[in-house]
Amino acid sequence: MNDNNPVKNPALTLPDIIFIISVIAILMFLGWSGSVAYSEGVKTETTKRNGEEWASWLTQAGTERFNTNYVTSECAPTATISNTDTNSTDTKSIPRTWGECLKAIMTPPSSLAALTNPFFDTPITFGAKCDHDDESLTGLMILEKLTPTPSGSALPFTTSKLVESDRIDQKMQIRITVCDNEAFPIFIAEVEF
Amino acid sequence: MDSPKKVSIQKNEYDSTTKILVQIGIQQTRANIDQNLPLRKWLYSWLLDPKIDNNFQKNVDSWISTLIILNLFVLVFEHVPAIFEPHKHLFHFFDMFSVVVFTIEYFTRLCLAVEDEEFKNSKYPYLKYITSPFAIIDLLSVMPFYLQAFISIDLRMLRFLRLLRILKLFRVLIPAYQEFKLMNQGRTFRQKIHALVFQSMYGGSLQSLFDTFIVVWVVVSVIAVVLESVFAISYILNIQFIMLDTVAVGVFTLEYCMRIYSCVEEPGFEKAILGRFKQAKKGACIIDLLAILPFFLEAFLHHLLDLRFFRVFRLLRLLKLTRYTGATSTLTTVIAREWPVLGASAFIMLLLVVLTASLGYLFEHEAQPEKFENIPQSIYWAVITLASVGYGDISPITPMGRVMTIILALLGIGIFAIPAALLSSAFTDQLRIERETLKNALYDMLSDGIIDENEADIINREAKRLHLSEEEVQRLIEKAKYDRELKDDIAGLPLHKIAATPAHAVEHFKTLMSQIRQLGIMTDKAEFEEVALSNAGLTPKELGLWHFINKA
Repeated sequence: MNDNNPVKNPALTLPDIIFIISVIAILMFLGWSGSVAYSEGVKTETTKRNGEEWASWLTQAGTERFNTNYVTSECAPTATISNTDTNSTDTKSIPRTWGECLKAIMTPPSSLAALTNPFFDTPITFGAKCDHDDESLTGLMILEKLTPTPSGSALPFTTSKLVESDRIDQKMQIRITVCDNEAFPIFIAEVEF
Repeated sequence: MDSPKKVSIQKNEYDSTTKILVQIGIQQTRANIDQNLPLRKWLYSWLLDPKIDNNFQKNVDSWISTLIILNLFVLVFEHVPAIFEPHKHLFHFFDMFSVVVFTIEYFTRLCLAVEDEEFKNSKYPYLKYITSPFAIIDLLSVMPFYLQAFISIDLRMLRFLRLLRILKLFRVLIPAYQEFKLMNQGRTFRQKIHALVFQSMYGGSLQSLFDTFIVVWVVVSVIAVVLESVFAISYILNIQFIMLDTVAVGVFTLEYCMRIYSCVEEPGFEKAILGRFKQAKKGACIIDLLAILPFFLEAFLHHLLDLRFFRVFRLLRLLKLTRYTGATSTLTTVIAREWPVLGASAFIMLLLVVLTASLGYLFEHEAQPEKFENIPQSIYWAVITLASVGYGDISPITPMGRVMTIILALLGIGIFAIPAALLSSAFTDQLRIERETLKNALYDMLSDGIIDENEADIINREAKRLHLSEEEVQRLIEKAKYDRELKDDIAGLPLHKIAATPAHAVEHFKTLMSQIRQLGIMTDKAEFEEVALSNAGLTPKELGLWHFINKA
């Protein structure tokens, strides 16, 4: 090829232009799908951070709540009440429940009360399980109580949803799971509370 | 760095075969650079001169490019606290290593700039080099590291500046692009696209870089898909995987569109619609489509169907690599060729499986109704037994069942081994055929005694596809040459073969005439006439011809 007299490149034809436009359109769609997937992914990450916050708080509480004068008294193992039947100054301890503790956790100024479900911008909700067919469950948090089974059992423990009436007067194992953007479960942690 | 490869021939055997090997670029002997050159010139010739073949310039470029790409990955991982925080020191060491390499590279190029055609004629060659775009990029890629020792730079800014290292890749890309532009001057847009994505004489280095780019993305995306299944990793890198998959699909979609659009430039695919449809039906193109389809299906249909299982098909991207190796096409040819025999073998296997399952059901159903509930359920046991897998979860317990199992297991060894043996022998046979074809091609190419650029390209590609070593190519060339020489000696060929080519026939006739004349000179003429005129001799016409030839 002679560089001094370069051969002129042919102009773009109609099929060339159609091809370029089609490719740009496909790539734009791809970019849009990618950005949607990215924003959904970010929301899932926020949900995971929520779960980690909960795991961290419950672990911390698990080490401190058996101490006297624990700050979040609703999460202490027992409540001390005065005996009203007799006019004495005797007091008695009654075990606290998860419902009382949860109410205290979800009330400001608790740090966990500020956490929101990023998918709906609402306070965190709790459920029994994630279900891919139910989109309303995205960002849901699942707290399960792990009950050890007798030694020799095929499974080391059984799981059940942590309900408000569950007593928290003893150490307990809690499994935290969250539902991702497609309402599939993501395991976060198992903590001792 | 590769050590120089040497062809195993003696010095006195450095003949035309070796010349041909050099011509086709198979022989990788190192550049012949004068040892007595001044050190700077000598170093430039070995390390940086792009005009000298077989020096280390390409190796230097490829190692630097690899380091740049690694830097890019490291930069991505630095943004993941879960990975970065525990391995901070490793990241720092890698950064230091990169900076040291890039600094050495910068100063080497600076010192040797006076030997570069581009700068040597300048009044201030060093200054001209320092102010050249590539040198500025090189400097920018290392400068932030040194600057942070003196000035406090924001970490995000530092990372952004380090991202500039990727610009160093232009040192490889720009010359390749310029070469591509030159090779494709005057060609249409579609022809250029074709040259970029398909193997052709217009592709040049840019086409090789494009192939490398696709291969890198295939490997990276497949590794990502595999790692995504590891919970501990996907938990940390979920966002990165999403981004990586989107970019990978973008790259593969673009490649697919380019292939479909420009395939009409390929021989046999010229028709606008039918040609493209024919291309889309090709195995490699179907694989290309499958590599991107899960993403689009999920994007369009995720509200209607649970298409998560589709994601596993992203692993099919690995099959895209088959385009770059001939082994799979050989295997496909072998299977297609042996299909009738394989079909017969499969039929016998099927027959044996059904028979075994039926007998298993017959003998074992009463004894183990839960395991041999029906014939379809017994098929699982039959296949596991005949294929010599033997998980042992289902086994016969009746004496008849056990006897039958012994016989059928022994039969199974033979029957199930047939396809493997068939494929193995057919594969070897196919390789032999392909090597023979290459030898014939070499034979034809040597007809004019010259191997041109196109022929060299064909030999190179075929040698690579058939995984032939230099020695094997050398042997094939020797054999082809020998055959060619044999053909040139037409007297050794049978008469009907000589007659098939008029030029050979004329040549042979001339040889015969010459021999007759020699005979006339060497023989005793009187005795010859006497014998010729006797009863067992020549006809008068033949004798007349003898006289005519010897007189002339």
